[in-house]
Amino acid sequence: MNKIEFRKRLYTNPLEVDQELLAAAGADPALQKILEQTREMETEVAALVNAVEAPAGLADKLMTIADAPSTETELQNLGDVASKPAANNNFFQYYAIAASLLLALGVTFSLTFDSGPSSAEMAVGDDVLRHLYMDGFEIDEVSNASNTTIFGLPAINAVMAESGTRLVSNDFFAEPAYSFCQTLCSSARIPKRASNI
Amino acid sequence: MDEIPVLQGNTKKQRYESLVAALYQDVYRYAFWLRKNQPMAEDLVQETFLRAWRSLESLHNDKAAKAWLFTILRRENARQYERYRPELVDIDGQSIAETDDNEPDSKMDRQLLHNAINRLHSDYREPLSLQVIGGFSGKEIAEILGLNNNTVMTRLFRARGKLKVEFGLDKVEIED
Repeated sequence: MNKIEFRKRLYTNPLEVDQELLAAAGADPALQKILEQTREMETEVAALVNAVEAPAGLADKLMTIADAPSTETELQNLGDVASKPAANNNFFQYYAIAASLLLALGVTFSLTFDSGPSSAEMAVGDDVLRHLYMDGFEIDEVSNASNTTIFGLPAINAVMAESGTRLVSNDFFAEPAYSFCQTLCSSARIPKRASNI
Repeated sequence: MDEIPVLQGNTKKQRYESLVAALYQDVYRYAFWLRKNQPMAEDLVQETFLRAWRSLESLHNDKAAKAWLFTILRRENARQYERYRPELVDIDGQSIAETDDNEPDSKMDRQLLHNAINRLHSDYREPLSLQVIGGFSGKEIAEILGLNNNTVMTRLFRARGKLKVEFGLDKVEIED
């Protein structure tokens, strides 16, 4: 056995060596010297390390850990806090549930009964669309200046007569009126007193 | 290895007190070499036994009581070290037991040995302390330190190799 292998096995625990190591040391004076020096040092190390004594009174302090009521009381109190009066806990719990339910119901109610636009409002919208669709041609003509016919008040009143109305003057016209529709407005909602002008 | 203590008594308090009586010295010694400081070691030991008291029911095998305590101590040491930065202390000033006042050379050697052990890196000092103080086997040391057995053997080898170099017993550090 070479020195390296010998040391490697010896140093892991010098005070507990197997027979193989002892035999190797017995057969080689150099190994024997290493064995003796290592064991001597190990004895010194063990004596030094184990010579450290615990301070006086430490054992008593450690014993009182089991006696100290604060330790057990703290643990007990923690348990008590965790299981504080069930009544109070239940009240707040139910209160919280009730508040959550109310909130949920409120949100649901508002979403359910929000019907959006009323039927009247929807009808106006339909009417506007119909107006644009039905009279769109005439509107486009005027917009494109393709219809440049100028109508005088009598002609306008001739159309408006069908709705039972008439214009008494054309003063409010800033410019000559281009009547783009000699028919009544197609809007169903507007009383038949209107003319597209 | 020291005789395995058997926790005495039927009540928790009785078992705890027998645990303290049997092991507090070894636990303190390990804490001392770990912290290199008496007050800090004492504080560490108290925290260790407090935790042991609280979790005594988890110790099912009395034969493993020593390893169990040492493991608690190491974890508590790590936890405390993370919270507090230890102050540098003059390790040469720490008292060591005097064995023979009539041989000052012996005392000096012991002081030198004391310092040499303290200078060891904790990677080497811990397994050495566990083996010498606790009498643990390589396998038990590996379990306490969370290492494999080969690593423990290597560190024990290097710890003693360094000490031998310190005392001139080996001219160079042994590398494996």
